Amino acid sequence: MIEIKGVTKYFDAKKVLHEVDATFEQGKVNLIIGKSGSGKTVLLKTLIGLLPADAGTIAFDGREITGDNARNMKEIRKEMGVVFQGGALFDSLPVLENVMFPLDLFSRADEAWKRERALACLHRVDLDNVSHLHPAELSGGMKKRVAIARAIVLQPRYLFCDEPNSGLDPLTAIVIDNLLSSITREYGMTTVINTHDMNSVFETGENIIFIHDGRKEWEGDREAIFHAASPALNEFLFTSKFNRTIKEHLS
Amino acid sequence: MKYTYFYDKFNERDGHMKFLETIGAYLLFLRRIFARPERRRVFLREMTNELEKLGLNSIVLVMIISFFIGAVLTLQTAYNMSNPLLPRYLIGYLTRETLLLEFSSTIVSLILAGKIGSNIASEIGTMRITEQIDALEAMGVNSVSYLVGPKIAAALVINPVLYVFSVFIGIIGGFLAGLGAGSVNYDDYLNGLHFEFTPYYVTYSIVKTLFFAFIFTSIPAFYGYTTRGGALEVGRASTRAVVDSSIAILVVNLVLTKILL
Ligand SMILES: Nc1ncnc2c1ncn2[C@@H]1O[C@H](COP(=O)(O)OP(=O)(O)OP(=O)(O)O)[C@@H](O)[C@H]1O
Ligand SMILES: [Mg+2]
Repeated sequence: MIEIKGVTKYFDAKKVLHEVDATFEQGKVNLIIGKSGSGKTVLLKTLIGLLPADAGTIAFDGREITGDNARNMKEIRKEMGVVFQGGALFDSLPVLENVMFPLDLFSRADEAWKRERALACLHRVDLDNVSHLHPAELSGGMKKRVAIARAIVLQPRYLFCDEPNSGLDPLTAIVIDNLLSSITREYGMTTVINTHDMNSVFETGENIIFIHDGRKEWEGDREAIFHAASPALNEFLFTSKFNRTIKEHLS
Repeated sequence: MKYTYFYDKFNERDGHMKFLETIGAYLLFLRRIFARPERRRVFLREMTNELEKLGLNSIVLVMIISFFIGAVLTLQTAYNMSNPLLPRYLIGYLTRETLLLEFSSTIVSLILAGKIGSNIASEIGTMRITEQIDALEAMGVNSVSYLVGPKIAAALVINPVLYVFSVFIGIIGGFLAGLGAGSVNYDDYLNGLHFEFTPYYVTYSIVKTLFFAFIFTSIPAFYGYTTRGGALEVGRASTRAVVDSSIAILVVNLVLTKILL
């Protein structure tokens, strides 16, 4: 479980996050939704300690990382996997070495075991014959899956994904969504996913927070979201005719 | 940490301040390079890769350029010494001195600042904008010492070697050109090469190549690392890197020459 309270972030004079409170639960897929530029990536990067929060507290199962407790982050990094918006695979390394990279850093196991483990993770994301390829030779969806494999290779307690299915076709997007959900349950992870894809919201949203202009505007689950009162959320969700029709049918 | 470029900024009212800010940011960046690397094994692996990349990528270029410049130096010196009172061995002597003192250290480093410098800035800049650097940091890797340390270490090893190569190839180029054009003979050229040889000049030049190697790796790395935005900014960072490291090399060359000679 990750708890954040009053998290605030400035870039120079511009306030990008306004006192955000949230709880991300263990064993669940927690979604951060919001339109482009609302501050999702900044919130995620603040959560994982890449951007320092200007105010507020962030605690990983009671271990704070803000203020004087930044030391805790060193331990938590070993328990954490991150999938960045574009995959962020290392261009210079082939797929297998990309996935093995965290093992090379943190594991004292021998080379053969690390290989096994990396191949098992690639298998878990349905990529069996690409371990020798370089990232430039992969499709967008394959890159995302390699990035997921790399993120789970250390069996993390916490998994963070920044728009794991942006730029993918709806079918592949759902495959990725379901993959993330099932891995989350399998490992009992606390998973936090940024998305502006409505399919993911209805597919996997067990605990959703909606960010609007850097403020938390709403929170709830995928059932409650149909009856939310927030005008900004309704505009965000139901501007498309398709989603509006679904809502009308349900109510 | 935004970077600014003093050529664009100098005319602005706060140009001097921005310039100092950039220098300050660069110094803070350097401090992070010298933080202890995560794992010695990883550092050595990366450094070997960089040695291979830097060495293989630059040795042919350096050899070609040195050969031709050596040749031209000899021919031009010969051409300017038509006065029969001047001893012919001066041709070999002047070719050697020019290569030894300036060309093979400073000019070769300037060329490498163009080739290696733009390469480093765009490689690291691309890693920045595609969040590969964030990925490293998220894994707890000190991205600066991991990415930049091995590059600097490799350049410090390679640049003096390239210097020695360049001097030899330049001298051979001069010799072949001189012989071919009939402007020197074997004995004169060889006498010239031996004439008043000062070993300290080699030490002085090797010291320079070490400073230059540090400059043409660390400045481009800094510009790459601080890139924000997209592909356009990566291109811009790489141009700035080349210009600024070239200027830094020229300034440091002047300072070192004043101190060491
Ligand atoms: N390094 C930075 N410096 C200054 N401003 C920034 C920086 N990073 C983000 N911002 C600003 O913060 C705001 C939120 O950006 P963020 O990247 O979090 O949006 P997002 O919700 O992730 O959007 P998208 O869905 O397009 O990825 C934007 O207005 C952006 O301009
Ligand atoms: Mg984003």
